[in-house]
Amino acid sequence: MSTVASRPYRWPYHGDVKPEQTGVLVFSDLDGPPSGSPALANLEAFIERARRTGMTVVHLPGADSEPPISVLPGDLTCRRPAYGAFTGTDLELLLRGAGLSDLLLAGFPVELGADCSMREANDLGYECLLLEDCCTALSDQTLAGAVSSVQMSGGIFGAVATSEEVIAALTSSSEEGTK
Amino acid sequence: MTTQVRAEPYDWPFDGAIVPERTALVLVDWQHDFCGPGGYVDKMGYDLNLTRAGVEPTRKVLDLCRQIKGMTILHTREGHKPDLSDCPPNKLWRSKQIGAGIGDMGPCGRILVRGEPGWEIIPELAPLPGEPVIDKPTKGAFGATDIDLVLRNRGITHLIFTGITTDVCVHTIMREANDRGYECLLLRDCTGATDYGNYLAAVKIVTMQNGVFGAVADSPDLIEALSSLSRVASV
Repeated sequence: MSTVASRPYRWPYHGDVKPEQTGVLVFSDLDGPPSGSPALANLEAFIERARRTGMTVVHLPGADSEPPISVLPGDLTCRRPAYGAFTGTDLELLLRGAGLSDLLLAGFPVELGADCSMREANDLGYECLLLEDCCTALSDQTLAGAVSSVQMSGGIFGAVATSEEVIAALTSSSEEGTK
Repeated sequence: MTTQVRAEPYDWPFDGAIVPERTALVLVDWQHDFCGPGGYVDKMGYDLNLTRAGVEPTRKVLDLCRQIKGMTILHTREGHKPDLSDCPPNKLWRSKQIGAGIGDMGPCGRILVRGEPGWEIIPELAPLPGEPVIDKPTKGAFGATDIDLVLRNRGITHLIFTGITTDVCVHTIMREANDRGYECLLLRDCTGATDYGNYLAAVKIVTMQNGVFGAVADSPDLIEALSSLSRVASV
C-alpha cells in the first residue's frame, strides 16, 4: 500500500496508488510548452517512469495544439473542441474502457484545459492529482491561484504534488512488491 | 442607445448589446452553507466576510434585473440527496477529513443535503416563484442537471454571473458555459472566495488571452447599462 505525500491529503483517497487504474493526462493549449521548458522535461522524465509501472498516458491536445510529448502505441488520444475535456468528446468512454479512475494531470498552460478538465473530472468522481512541476502558466498569479484553489476545503478538486513525490510513492510501492 | 457594459478585456457582450430575452442573471450557490454562520464553509474555519462580501451588490443587481422585461433570473444550489447516492465517495471522504462531513449533522442541519436549513438560499437573494432553480450535486452545473435545456428552452445565450465561491463553483460553471458557447460576464464585486488571493487570481484568469472565459465588470457599470432598458409594465 502506497500513497503520495501530496497536499492537502495523501493521494489517492482510497489509500493505494494503483498504476493499472491511473491515467497521466497531458493537456496542451495555445502554443503548448516552450521548447526547453523545465516543466516539459519534468513531465517527460515522469512519463518514462509512469509507463514502466503500467500507467496509461492520455494525450489531450486542444483544437489548435499538438501533443507536447511523443504518442506511443497503447496511449490514448482525445482531441478537445473545448477547454473541458469531457465536453463534446468521448473521453469518459475512453477512461471507462481503460479502467482509469485515478488521474494525474499536467497542463501547458495549467489554467485552460487542465484546470477545466480537473473540475469536470472531479465532479464526475474521478480521483485527481495535479502535477504542479509539470505545468506551465499564463502568469505566476493565476498558476498560484489554480494550485491553491485545488487544495481548499480539504481538496475541493483533488490534490497537488510534484512528479518526484509521485515517483517516490511508486518506488516504495514496487519495493514492497518484491519483498 | 447602447446597452453594452464597460468590462475587461472587452465591453460586454461581444455581439453589441444586451438583449434581455436572451440574457440570464445567474446567482450561484448563495446558500447558507457557503456564507452563513454554522454552515459548511463556516465549519471549515473560513472567514464568512469574504464569501458574504458580494451579497449587497448582488441584491441591487437582482432588484434591477427583476424589473427588466424579459430577463431571466436563474439560481443554482449545491446539495445532495438525503441518501448521498449522488455524492462521489472521494468528495464525501475529503469533507469528513476536514471535519465538515457531507450529510453529518451540523448547527444548520445535515451539511450540504437538500432540504436542510443550511442548504437554503439566504433570504436576501432567495428565488421568487417562477425563477428557475437548478439543483446540482456538483461544483459545475452542466454535468448532472438540466440547466442547458432550461437555458435553451428560453433562448438564452448570454449569462451574467454572481455568486460564491469565485474560484470553485462560479468559475467551474462559467468555464462550462463558455465551453458551450454562452457569452459570459462575471460581476467582480458580486462574488467572493474562501481565500482572497484565489478570488483575485480567479477574476484575473477570465480576462487573460483576450477574455478566455468571457469578461469581467463591476456591478455599477452593469446597472448603468441596464438603465436604458424598458421595465416591467407594472413596476
